[in-house]
Amino acid sequence: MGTRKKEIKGICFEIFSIAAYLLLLFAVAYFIMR
Amino acid sequence: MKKARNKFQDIEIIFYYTGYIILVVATLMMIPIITSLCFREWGTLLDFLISGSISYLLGMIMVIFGYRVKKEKLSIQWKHGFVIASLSWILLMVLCAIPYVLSGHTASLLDACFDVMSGFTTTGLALTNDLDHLSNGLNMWRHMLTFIGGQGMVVLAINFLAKELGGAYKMYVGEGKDIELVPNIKGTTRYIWKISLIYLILGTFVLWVIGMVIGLIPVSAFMHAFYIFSSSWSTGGFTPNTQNIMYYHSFVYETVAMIFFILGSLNFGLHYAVWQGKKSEIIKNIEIQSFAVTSFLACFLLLDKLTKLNVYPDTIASFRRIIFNVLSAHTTTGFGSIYARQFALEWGEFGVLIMTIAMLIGGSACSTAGGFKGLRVGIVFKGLIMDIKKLFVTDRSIKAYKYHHIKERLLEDGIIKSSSIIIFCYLITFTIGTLLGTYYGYPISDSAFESASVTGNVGLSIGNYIGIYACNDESI
Repeated sequence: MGTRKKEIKGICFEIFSIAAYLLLLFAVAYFIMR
Repeated sequence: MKKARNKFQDIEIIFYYTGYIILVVATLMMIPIITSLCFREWGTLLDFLISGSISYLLGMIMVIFGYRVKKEKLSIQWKHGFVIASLSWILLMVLCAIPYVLSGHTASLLDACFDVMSGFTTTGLALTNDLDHLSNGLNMWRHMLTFIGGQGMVVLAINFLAKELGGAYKMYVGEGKDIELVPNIKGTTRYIWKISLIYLILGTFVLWVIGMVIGLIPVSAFMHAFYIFSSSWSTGGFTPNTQNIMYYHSFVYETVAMIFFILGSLNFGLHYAVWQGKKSEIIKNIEIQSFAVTSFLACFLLLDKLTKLNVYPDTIASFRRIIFNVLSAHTTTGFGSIYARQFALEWGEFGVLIMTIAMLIGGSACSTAGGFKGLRVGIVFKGLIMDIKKLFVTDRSIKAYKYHHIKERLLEDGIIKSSSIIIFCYLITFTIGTLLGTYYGYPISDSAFESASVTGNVGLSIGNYIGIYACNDESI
């Protein structure tokens, strides 16, 4: 796999990982507020 | 390469390299000059022309003073590296403050120097008056400083002047960085800037689009996108207005800013590893584990407490207020989605304590964030577990304990000891700050909050020091 392709995948992976963590926190907030 | 033989040659080496670093930063003044030209801000343009000329002149004088360094091929030693990095920061603080003073938005040179150093260290506290009416040129300069400060001025200079700066590694370490992404220092600094610039383009574009969707005109949306991304990525917390992130009234804008300031608080070594295909690093890395656990606990405890107090009406409001501010504090960014005094008046002592602890821990090592870092928390915690486990095994059994940070590392007593010492020293500084606050008559919780904020380069304020109408970090 080319370096650039690897880097793009890495960027997407980082962003989605953090978005997933924020989603988890949102879910926690939802269950606590319920 | 020859070593310096006397003190005069030491001074020549220091002047030569410091001069070059000043020239690089002076060149960067071209960006606010171009911005001022585009927006026809002639006063600001003149301010930057004067500041740039003074900086160039000083840089040139210093390089000419040390011209024999190149001629005689004098090499940099460790002592030079540390002095060059420190001197560069001090001189650049004064030179970069000139446009602030000339703009008339600061009460004195000292206030302007405070603002510049706040930008360089990505703290985000500001003494600039009337933030809402700053020119685009000066706003560009403020946010550029915080963006560059996140990566490091010397790191930037090494990028441009790798040929001239023979002892780059010594200066790089002198600026407090020690990570080596690739075997040579030039490659490492280039990769640090590559990561930052790619995210700059991506982040600015995304925030620009969202800015237009929420009603900003395209040009304004673009400028705001650049400013907010720079502050997010460098975990700085500067904004172009006194309302801080509340100015945008947008859940999406705040969430995207959150993603970028968390990304900015991650270790450059981790970014490099993930970009090279080691995706498991994001799960295995001790810093990520430490951040995930501490930030989750902080958010959970505050959500639970503030829900019982009925502070916020629904999930969206809780997410935008509690989670945003906790993560902003934990990553040492300093963006605030509530007014400063609300921390004390609405969140209470428990909320202030959680925020203080989050600010003390901070982000990752070798990132743009402050605090005593998740890496050390993780190491000390693992060391504690290791000691407890050792109590239950026989003296004869030998087991190697490890932790994962970019690669598997042995958890030795030395590394636990050095991490504990750094945390201890950090807490002493924090305690001194808290003591000073209480000495001048402020409540202990307010003093601890402010002390944790300035020690960890966060930039949040509890407001007591600045009056109840002050907004988070932007109007201390």
